[in-house]
Amino acid sequence: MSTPDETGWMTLKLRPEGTAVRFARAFAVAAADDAGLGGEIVEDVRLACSEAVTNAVHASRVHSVSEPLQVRCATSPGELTVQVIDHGGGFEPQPARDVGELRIGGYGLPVMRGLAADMRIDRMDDGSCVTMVFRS
Amino acid sequence: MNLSITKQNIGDWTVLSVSGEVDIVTAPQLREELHAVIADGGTQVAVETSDVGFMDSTGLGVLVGGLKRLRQADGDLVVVCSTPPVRKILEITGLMDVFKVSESLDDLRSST
Repeated sequence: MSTPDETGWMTLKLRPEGTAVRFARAFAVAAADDAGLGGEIVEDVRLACSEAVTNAVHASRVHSVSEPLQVRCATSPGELTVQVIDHGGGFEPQPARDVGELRIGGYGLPVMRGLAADMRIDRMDDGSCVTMVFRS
Repeated sequence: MNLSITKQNIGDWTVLSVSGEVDIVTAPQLREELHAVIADGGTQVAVETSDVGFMDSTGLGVLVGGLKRLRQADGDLVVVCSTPPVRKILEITGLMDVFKVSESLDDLRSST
């Protein structure tokens, strides 16, 4: 487990490649345990974090960016905040679409929205920051 | 790291039994196996996920892609799942109603 910095965030920096999703999942799940979130919510954290980092890896690939991704976690009793920050050029979130439609991609954002208690995407100069909050 | 994927036939069904975590790292492996079965002329395909400990929407996209190809060939894809990781993502994306979902391989055996 990382030690929180003076702002309370624990941060993991990862190369923007596929295996990042696995390190990120393990990190976020450990933080969820630390926050005392229950079993089902821990699984929600695992899935939502995987989706966010997958999107970040894709964005970095599309823009040929090698700058590390950051996964940040902040915990308080019964609450976990996860941020995934990439430098993949940013993206415009697509408008919500009907679920159940037969398409191969584009499920990540609806899954994150469905699992997190709160979710926000902030566009930055050269990428984006996804913030998800999970509560017990 | 890799998935373990085994293939067997049950009646008219070609069954791919998947074990491991399906994500951006391993989804291409599942896609290759699925496409190989379809290229060999398989039209009734079941993906058995009881030993899948985790699956995210990258894996789901592979299943949707397989379903689309099979429907074009008048075939079908059944997802066999009794465990939470796969059921959860099927439910949250609304795809539970799109795929034929079966509780166990016994359902396939009794349908053939």
